[in-house]
Amino acid sequence: MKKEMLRKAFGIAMASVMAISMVGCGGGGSSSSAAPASEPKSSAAPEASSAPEEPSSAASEASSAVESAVSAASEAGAEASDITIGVSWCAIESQMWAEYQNTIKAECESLGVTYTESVAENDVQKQNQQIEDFISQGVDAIIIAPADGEAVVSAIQECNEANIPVIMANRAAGEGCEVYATISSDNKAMVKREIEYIVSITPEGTKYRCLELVGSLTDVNAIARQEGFEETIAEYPDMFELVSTVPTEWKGDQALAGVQNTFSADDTVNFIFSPSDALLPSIISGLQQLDKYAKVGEDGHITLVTFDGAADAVDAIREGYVDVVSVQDATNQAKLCVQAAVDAAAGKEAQDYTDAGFEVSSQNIESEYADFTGY
Amino acid sequence: MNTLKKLKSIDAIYWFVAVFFIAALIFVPGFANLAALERLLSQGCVLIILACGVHLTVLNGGVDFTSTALLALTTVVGGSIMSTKGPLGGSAGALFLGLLVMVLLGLGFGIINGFSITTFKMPSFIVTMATQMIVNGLAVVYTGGASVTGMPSAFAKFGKGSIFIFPYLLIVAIGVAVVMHVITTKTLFGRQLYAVGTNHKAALISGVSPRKTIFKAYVLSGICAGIAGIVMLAYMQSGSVNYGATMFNDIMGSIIVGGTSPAGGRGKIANTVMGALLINMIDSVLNILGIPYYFITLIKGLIILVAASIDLIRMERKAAR
Amino acid sequence: MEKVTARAGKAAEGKRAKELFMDYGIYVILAAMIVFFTVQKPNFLTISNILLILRTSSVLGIACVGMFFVLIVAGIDISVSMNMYISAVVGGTLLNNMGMPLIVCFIASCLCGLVIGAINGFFVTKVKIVPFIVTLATYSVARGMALFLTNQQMMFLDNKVMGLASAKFLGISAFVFIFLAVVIIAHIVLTCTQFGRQLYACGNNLQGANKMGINGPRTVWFAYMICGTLCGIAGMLSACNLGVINPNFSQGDEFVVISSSIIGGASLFGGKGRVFPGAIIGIVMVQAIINGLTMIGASAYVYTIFRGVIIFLAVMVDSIKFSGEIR
Repeated sequence: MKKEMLRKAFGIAMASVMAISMVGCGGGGSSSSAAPASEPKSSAAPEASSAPEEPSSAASEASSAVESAVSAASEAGAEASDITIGVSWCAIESQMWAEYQNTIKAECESLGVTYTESVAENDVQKQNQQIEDFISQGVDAIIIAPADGEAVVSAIQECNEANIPVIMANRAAGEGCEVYATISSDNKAMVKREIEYIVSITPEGTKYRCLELVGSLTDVNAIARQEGFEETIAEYPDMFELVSTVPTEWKGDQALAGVQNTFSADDTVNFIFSPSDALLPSIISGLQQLDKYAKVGEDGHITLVTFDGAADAVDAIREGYVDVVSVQDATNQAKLCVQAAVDAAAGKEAQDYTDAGFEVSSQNIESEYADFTGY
Repeated sequence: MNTLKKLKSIDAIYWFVAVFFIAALIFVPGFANLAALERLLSQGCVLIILACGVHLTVLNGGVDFTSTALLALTTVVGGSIMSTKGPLGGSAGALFLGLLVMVLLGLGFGIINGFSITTFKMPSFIVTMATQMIVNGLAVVYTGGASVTGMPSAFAKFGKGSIFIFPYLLIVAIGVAVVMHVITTKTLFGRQLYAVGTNHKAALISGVSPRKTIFKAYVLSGICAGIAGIVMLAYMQSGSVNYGATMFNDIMGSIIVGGTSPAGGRGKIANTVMGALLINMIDSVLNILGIPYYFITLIKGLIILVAASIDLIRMERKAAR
Repeated sequence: MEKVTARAGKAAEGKRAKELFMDYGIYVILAAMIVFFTVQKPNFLTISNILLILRTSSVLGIACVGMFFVLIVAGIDISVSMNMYISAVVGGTLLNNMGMPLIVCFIASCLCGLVIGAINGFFVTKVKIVPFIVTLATYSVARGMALFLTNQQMMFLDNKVMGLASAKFLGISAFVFIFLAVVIIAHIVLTCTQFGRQLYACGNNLQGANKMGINGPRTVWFAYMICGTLCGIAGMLSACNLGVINPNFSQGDEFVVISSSIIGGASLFGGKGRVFPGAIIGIVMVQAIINGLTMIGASAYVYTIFRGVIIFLAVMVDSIKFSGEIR
C-alpha cells in the first residue's frame, strides 16, 4: 500500500515537473510587455493616418515625408517590439547590480523589448551555459555582466559565431572575442580622485594606516580599484601606509572578519578602503562592535572611502560617518546597455561608454549633491 | 513476450532520459536544432566524467568531494603551463606537458585520498572534504585568484570542434565512460569493488583486499577528475579557481538518479552516465524555457529526493520477492 | 628473559605514550597552533582577541551544537548552511516587511529551521533514505526557496539588528552568551536526560536501541529537528551580524560546521561526542586559524589550505585508533 502510494506520488511529481516546465515555458522568457508593445505601434499609427488627410499640392513631399515617417515609425516599432534581449547576470549582490537589473527591466518594458534573464550566482561555468542557452533560445542580443571576464570569452565566441551581438555591462570581457559595446566605469580614475580628495582635506602630518578590502579577483573592476588605490597612495608615502589587504570575494562575512581581525592585530588602523557599498553594512557592523564608529571630525573617526553610490552609503555620508563615495551611474549605464542592445539588433553602429563618475563627500553633500539619494 | 521482458529490464533512467529528450524536442522552441544539441552535448561532458569517477567511490559507500576542487587546480596549473602567455610559449610540448600535469595532479590527490582512507582509516567523507579545502586553497595560491587564459589554438580547436554533431569533448567523455564501464564490469577489480561495497567482511574472507580495492577506486576517481579538468579547460578555454564550486550536487544527483545506492554495492556506470545526461538536459532545457536559476535548483533537489525514494521502493520490492 | 621483559616494558611505555597522544591529539594540535601564532604575534593571546575568536565562532558554533545531535545518531546534515540562509530570509522578511520585533523574527527563523529539520528527519527515518542524500537534496531545495524569496537579490536588514550585533555584557558580546547558553543547555540534555541517553544509544546501535524499547526513528527525527532549529537561530544571528543577507549567504559553511564538529569529538559513525567542551573547541580551532593567519599578516590565500591541513591532521589523529571497516 505504502509502496503504491509512493509510486503514485512519484508519477504525480514527474508529471508536475513536466507541467511546471510547460507552464514556465508559457510564463518564462516573457517579461514581455504586451501592453507597452502596442505603444510604439500606436504612436506610429497617428503619424501614418495623419498623412493621408493632407491632400495638398505638397502631396508628394508629404507622402514621402509620410513614407519616411511610417517607415521610421514602423522600423522603430519593429525594432523595439520584435527584439528579445537576454541578460546574463553574474549575481545581484550589491545595490548597484540591483539598480542595474531594475533599470534594464524597466527600460526594456518601456521600449517594448522582450526581456529574459538568468542569474549565475557567481558560477562561472553556469554563466557560460546560460549564455549558450540564450543562443539556443534565439535572442537578438545578449547583455552580459560576467562573473569572470576571461572565462566568459569562450561563451562570447559562441555568440559571435551565432551572430548575436554582445554588450558588456559594467565589466569588460577579456581578449579573443568580439564585443559590440562595453559600458563601464573608469574605476581607476575614480578611485584616484577619491584619494586625492582625502589628501586635499587632510591636515599636514596626519598619517593614515590603511586597511584595504579587495573585491573578487576575477572581477576586472575590483582589480582596477585595487590598482587605483595602491598606486595613488604610493604617491603620498608620508601620508598613507598600507597595513593590511583583505580579499573579500565580494562577501560580507569576509569583509567583517577582515575588519575585526585587522583591528585586533593592529588597533591603530584609521582608514578603510571599501571597493563597494555592498560591503559597507558588514564594515559598519564590525566598527560598531569595536566601538570605532565615529563621525567625521570626531575623535576616533575611521576614515571610510567607498565605491558605487548606493543609498545607504549616501545616507551614511549625510549623517557624517562615511567620508567619500565614488558614484557610478548605474541607472544611466543600464539604459545605455539596453539602447546598445536595441541598436545592435537593428544592425547599427555602437560605441563603448565609459562612465567618468563623480564623488560625493561629506564636504559637498550639503551643497552640490543636496538632492542626491543614490540607488 | 520476450521483447516485453527486455523492455521491462531496461533501467528506468533510460526511459526518463528518452521521454524528457523527446518532450523537449517537441515542446521547447529552439531545442530541436543541431547547434543547440551540440552545445547541450558539450556542456554535459565534464559532469559525465566526474560522475564516473565519483561513482567508483560511492560503490563502497564512500564519497569523493575532492574531484570538484581538482577541476579548479588542474585547469589553472595545466592552463598556465600550456598557455601562450606562459613560460613555454604555447608550444606543442607545453600542451602535452600541461595535459600530463593535469592528469598527474588528479592521480596524486587520488593517491593521497586513497592512502588516508585505507591506511589511516579516516572516513572518506571528512578526508575528501579536507583535501578539497587544500586543493582549492592551492589553486588560489597558485594564481592569486586570477584566471588563466591564452590557450594554444590547437587546444581551442579541440574544445570547439566536432564530428557531425558530436563534439570532441563528448567523444572523450564517452571514452572515459566506456573505460569505466569495462573496468567495473569486465575486470577483476570491478568485481572486487562491488564485492567490497556489498559486504566488507565477506569480501575480506574471500581473499579480496578491501584496502587495495578501495585505494584503487580513489586513485581512479582522481584520474577522472584530472581528465575532467582537461575537458573543462578545453570547453571554457580558461582556467579558473571557481570551477566546480557548485557541481557536487549535480554529481551526486547524476549518481543517485542513475540508480546507484549511496550505501554502496550496486550501480552501473552506464546508468550514472544517463543520470548525468538527464541532469544536464534538465539544466539546459529549463534554462532555455526561461525558468529561473532558483527554480531549477529547487527542482534538482526534489528530483534527487524522488529518485532516491523510488530506488528504495524498487529494492524493497526485489527483496520481498 | 630479562631482555624480553625490558623490551616489552619499553614497548608498553611507547604504546601508552602513543595512546595518550591519540586520545588527546586534538589538544596537542590546538596547543601547537596557539603557540605558533602567539610566538609570531603576542597580540594573539590577549583577552580581547580571545573574545573576538569566541565571538566569531558563536554563530557557526551554534550550528555545530546542532550538528552534534545529528552526528551522535550517526547521521549527517549537509543542508545546515542553506537552512541558515532560508531561516535568515524568513526572519529578515518579517523584520523588514512587517516590522516585527526582533524576538518574533528569531522565533520565525527557529520555526523555519525546525521545518527543514523535520523534513530531513522524515526522509531519513520514514522513507529511509541515506542522510547524506536527503540533506544534499534539502540543501538544493532550501537554497532554491531562499533565492526565490529574495528574488536572487540582497536583503538589507533594518538597523534594529545593529543593536543586537553590538550588544555587550561585561565587555563580552551577546553572541558569545547565546552560544554558551546553547552549549550548556545541549550538554544538559545530552548528559542528564533520558532523551540524551537514547540519542547515544541510537547512534551506537540503532537496532539494539529499538529492541530495548527506545523509539529509534522518533529519536533520530528529533535529532534532526533540533539541528534544524539551532541552524535557524544561527542563520538569523549571522544575518544580524552582517546587516545584510547576500545570495551567497552561508555558502560553504556546511563544511566548516561538519569538520568543526568532528574535530570537536563527534564521529560520523555516531554514538560519541560531548558538546561541552567539544563543540566549543572544534569551532574555536577552525576559526582561530583564520584569526591567527590574519594577525600574522599571512597571505589571505593560504587560509583554506591551513584549514584543510588542520582538519586533516585532527581527523587523522582521531582515526588512527579506529580499527573498524574502512568507509
